[in-house]
Amino acid sequence: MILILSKPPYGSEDVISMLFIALAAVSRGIKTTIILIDDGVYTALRDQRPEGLKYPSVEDLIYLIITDAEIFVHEDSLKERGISGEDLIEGVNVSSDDEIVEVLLTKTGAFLLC
Amino acid sequence: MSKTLTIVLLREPYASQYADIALEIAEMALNLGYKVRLFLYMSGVHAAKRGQSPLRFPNFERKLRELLTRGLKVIACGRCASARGYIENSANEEGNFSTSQYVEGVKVMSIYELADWIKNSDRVIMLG
Repeated sequence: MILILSKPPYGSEDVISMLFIALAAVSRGIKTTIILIDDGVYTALRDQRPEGLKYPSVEDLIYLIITDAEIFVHEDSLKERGISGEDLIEGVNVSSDDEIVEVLLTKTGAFLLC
Repeated sequence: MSKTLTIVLLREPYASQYADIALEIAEMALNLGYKVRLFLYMSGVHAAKRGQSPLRFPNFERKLRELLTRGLKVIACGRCASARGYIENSANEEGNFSTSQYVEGVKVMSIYELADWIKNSDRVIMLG
């Protein structure tokens, strides 16, 4: 299964809810790939502190998923937002356009976009 | 053996066309002999509310009821339905939550049911 997340992780339930699908999928043994693009790249930031928002931490969800799912973060989206690879959770893959295309072409199964 | 299609609906009817499109795709797939399942997620859980009465839009509930009689399987996400005030009791032994506010035949279950559906589907479409 491929999940493409392009929305920011806070302010709506979209990304959190998609990560719940990923969590359920990996627990059922579904090979899961997550691609973070546009504002979706904020999901992979390290040391998130959403306590003031009273939203669940997407970083905590990523830690629950990352041992079983591959996570790719779009390099140009990071650059556009001034985020360096060092700001990200350990274990995510920073990937170029070509590398993301390769992922899309080689992975099979359900394709979910949000 | 017939193929299986799972549709995940993320938005409620009337606010956009996604819900109508979901049922149009479901109907077409049923016509083609597919097994079709509809998972209502996030605001999509409003779609199963009974008593819908739109004045100038196609009645989603009427179409939903028609397709349920034709074999469409529908599950609404329990967490999403609870957040929106639909859940009246805790889950029973089969993991079903109960609500009198939904169209008969719609089950309310956990996100793990969606994972199982995804695992056993030939195609998955997410709308919204």
